[in-house]
Amino acid sequence: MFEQLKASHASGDLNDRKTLCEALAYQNYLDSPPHIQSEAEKIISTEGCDCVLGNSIKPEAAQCCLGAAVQFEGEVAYCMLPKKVIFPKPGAYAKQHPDFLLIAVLDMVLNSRRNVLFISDWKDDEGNTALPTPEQVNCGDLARELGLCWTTWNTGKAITIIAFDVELAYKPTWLDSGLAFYWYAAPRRAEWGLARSLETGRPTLREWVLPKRVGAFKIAAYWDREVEQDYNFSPDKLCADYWKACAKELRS
Amino acid sequence: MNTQEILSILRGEQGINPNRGIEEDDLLEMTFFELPKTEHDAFWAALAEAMTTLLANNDDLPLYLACRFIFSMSEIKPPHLPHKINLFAFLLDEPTNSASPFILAGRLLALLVLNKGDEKFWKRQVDASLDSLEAAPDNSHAMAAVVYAFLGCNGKASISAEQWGKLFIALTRLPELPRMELLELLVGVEKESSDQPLMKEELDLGMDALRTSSKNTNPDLASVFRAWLDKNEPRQAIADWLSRELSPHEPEARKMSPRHRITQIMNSRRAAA
Repeated sequence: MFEQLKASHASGDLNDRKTLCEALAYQNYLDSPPHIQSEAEKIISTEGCDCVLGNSIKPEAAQCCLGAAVQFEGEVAYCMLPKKVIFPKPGAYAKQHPDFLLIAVLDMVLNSRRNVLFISDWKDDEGNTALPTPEQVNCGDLARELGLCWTTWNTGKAITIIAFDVELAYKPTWLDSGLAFYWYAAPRRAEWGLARSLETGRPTLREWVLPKRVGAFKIAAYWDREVEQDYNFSPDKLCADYWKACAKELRS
Repeated sequence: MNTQEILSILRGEQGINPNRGIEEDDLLEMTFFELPKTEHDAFWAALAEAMTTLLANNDDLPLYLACRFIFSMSEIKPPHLPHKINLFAFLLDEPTNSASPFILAGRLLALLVLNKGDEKFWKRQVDASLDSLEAAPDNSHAMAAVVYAFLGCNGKASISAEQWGKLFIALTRLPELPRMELLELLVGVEKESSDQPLMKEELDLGMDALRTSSKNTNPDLASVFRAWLDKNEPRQAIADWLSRELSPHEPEARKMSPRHRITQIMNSRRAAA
């Protein structure tokens, strides 16, 4: 199973999308520390290579937050979640006391099926702010720049942008991403990961992960947003520039 | 799109990646919007059939996700719900005693969205969901089922004092306070405001009942009812109670005034720009 990824990386035709995805996945493997590599090997030998091409990894299969622990020094750590807790009429929360609202959002996070929370300070590798404020940011830009491949949103979909108060965070690993091909290992950065833009294919926003457990973070604020138009970031809808940049990176 | 394909997605056989925000219902939604509009009716029929199969097999999480998908389709603009809601009438049938909280919560949510079920039906669901919560007090889906049942009664049936009392007793027994769910209940309670005199009367009766068995009554529970009656403002009364309950657990969060802090950061960022 693993040999297929290796062969695609070594000599595959990168003009072929499936081969390119396999090669990107293998690059992520190569750029991962040894303990992540050995865990990934175990999963791929059980689940097969298809898991790195789609969304096939079982959530319980991968251990999370095995990357380097770092003191989070950014100003604000943002996390974006589609509203998955299925309580009708979320607008009614507006009448509640602000402290209540923060606690309610904490509940939403803790009740989600995530094992790990990807956070970003919306800054690039040089520390420049790359996105406007949570009130102003375009939801599509946000998903695109955070590299949230497979995201398909329709107009009006409710999402929540959460600002966390974080002290300790972890550099994301390939396991945290669910062995995704569209994730980027940021091998030359010890203190943070970098999300790969779905528009340019280039690493852009700094990112970290947090374990989803009580005490790992505090919620400082949140913003309920409605998606402004339809978006489809499934792999077959990504633009040519994305694939070109990924292939170029592998060839260099 | 046929029933088997829908079942395959809902059972996670097509893969998911929750850490990146992709779950079974997201994939189902993506699939739905890739279909030509002419196939939407057939899709809903296949979904109904898939859900019948899941219900028969007590396949709880996939069924819950199917119901969450229906809810999600009601939220987008414009909503995309089935034209023939009678396809989902099977959800009105009472589940077996062994039905898990996933199934209880899921079917009530779907019925709420589809606006099905009469007064008697929703009153029965309040009792059934409270019984389920009593049996599984630490299960958030059991709590969610209660919330949906209460909301289902809005505009159709008034909740009796006995049912409110049972709910509050259940809440006080929960290992962790169901904060989110309680907020939702407040929403439901608020919607009852036009019925306030009747509710007050019922609560008076409920309070009397509690007083007569006061030896075993949790004082916090009694104080909730008292505050409710005194202020005639259920939302604020419960908010006060919840604040007291939460304060020992969240001392740091309450001290730091986070909203103020984040506003300062945003203001300084805007000034710098």
